[in-house]
Amino acid sequence: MWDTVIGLEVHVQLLTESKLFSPTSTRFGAPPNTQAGLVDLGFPGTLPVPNRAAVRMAVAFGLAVGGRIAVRSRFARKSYFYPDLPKGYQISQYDEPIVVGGAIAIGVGEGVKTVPLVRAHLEEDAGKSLHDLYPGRTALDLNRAGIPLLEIVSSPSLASPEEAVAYLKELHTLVCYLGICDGNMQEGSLRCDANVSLRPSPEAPLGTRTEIKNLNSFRFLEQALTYEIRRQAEVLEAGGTVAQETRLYDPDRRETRPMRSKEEAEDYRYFPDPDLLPLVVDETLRAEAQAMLPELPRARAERFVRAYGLEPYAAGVLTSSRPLADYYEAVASAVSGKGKDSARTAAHWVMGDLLGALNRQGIGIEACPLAPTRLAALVLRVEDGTLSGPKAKEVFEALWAGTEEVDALIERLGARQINDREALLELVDRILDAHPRQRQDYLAGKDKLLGFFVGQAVKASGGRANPQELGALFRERLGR
Amino acid sequence: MSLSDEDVRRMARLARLALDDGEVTRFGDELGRILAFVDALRVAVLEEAPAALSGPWARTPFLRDDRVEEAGHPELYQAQAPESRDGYYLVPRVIEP
Repeated sequence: MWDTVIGLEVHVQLLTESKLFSPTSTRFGAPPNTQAGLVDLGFPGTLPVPNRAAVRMAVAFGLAVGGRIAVRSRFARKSYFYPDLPKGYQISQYDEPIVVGGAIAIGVGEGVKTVPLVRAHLEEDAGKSLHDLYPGRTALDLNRAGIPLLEIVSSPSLASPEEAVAYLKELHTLVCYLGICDGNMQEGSLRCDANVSLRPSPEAPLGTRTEIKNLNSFRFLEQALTYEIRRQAEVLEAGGTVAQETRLYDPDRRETRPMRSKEEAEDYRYFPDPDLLPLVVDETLRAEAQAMLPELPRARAERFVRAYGLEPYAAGVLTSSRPLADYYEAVASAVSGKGKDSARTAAHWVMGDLLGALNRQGIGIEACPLAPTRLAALVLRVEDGTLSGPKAKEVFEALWAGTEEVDALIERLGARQINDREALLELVDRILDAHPRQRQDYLAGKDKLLGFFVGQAVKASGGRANPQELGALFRERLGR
Repeated sequence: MSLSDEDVRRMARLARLALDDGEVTRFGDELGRILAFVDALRVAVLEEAPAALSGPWARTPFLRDDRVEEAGHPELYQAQAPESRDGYYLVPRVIEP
């Protein structure tokens, strides 16, 4: 058995209107090169000017993870000989990043593990190269060149692919909550490189690591790490040594392959960018970033447990995105105090039927057509016993599909639950008369038949009879 | 301060320059003379001086507001590129697809 050590470098595309150093648009999906301006193209004589919003977002992230915000940090040039950055270098940060340290808490099994961060720094993205569009040519779309990225580097303290995925999910939730990233992994808004190495025991020095580039989904991260850990273990167990290299994950063949050897280590020749003054985060900017911070997901989940009596699992699901948490909270605050379990019933409906309906139609909670107040009205009718479970589902479907209000729907659909003792007793007697054999068997000790009787009665009432009441009445009538 | 041929070849590789042996000798010699010239700076007393590249940072540097103020003008810019097609800039293929 080997001790696995994983560290992640995550590139988060910051949600700004314009680029990190130029006033051109960052909008996704525009025709090629329509959003590549003079600075992005590296025209001689142009100068980069940093985007205040991008800096503010980096600071907000640093504050959210409890990192140290560098009052003064510095942009550096990283020499880079690919045509997707026409300047011949990438503007990044090297020895003086904007955020140092901080930590992210992840759920591991039943417990919580704190993953320390090394740093987070600002840098510009490169353009996109297409190698198979024209024979013998590489085609360049430089729309992405210059888009602001925050590179977040974790310490090598993740011990398994599962922990790496939990960390990436937590980070994804956090940057979306902060409103600094749209979190769209298909469009590359969050990209991940993984460093992985093995050692014989946790006390041994770190083994030689490989780096797996450009993992753009949680699933690929997990698959690539699982493959790479097994590969390294096989190399080591055969008496070999792991080569320090960069590898690419091929999702079709589910394997990693060497991309370039680190022996010919890239010499990036970092040096401070003479076009840019040191970046200063003054009190004003820091206060602006502070003002951006919402209640963070973990804190909000804990509050949901305390204030609404939710299970930690439900609180975790409901705080997994800010719009979902806002939606739930709108429903919960409309029903809380009315019925002892109303906030929990609300959680049940939001997580069950509502998310189900949204999924079915492929829309996100932000675009939910059902207003929280209308769902709250349904929850209240469940809580006060007007609606049984199956009838509530029926009313929910009608509520979802139309504009009618809950009480009107209950009347129109005849969905009101029968709680009236006399009416229920009549039903109970009718069912018992119709099933004399089962009645005998029940009296002879087949307790399970109670469920059968209740089921028959509910069915006979068109789903409207209150099953709890029925159970009690059957027992009463049968004398046991 | 002198440079070895190996230093010169390494720098040439980083700069993507192909040098023949004669050029390696020639540039080694020229670069060596430049370094000797710059070496004179070593006598300067720097303890008290601010770091040269930090610039006049006593004033807060200018940050731009996050607004789109420049449209890409692909047709204009691409007119200056050696090769372009369908909106893309074309360069010699850098890797095999």
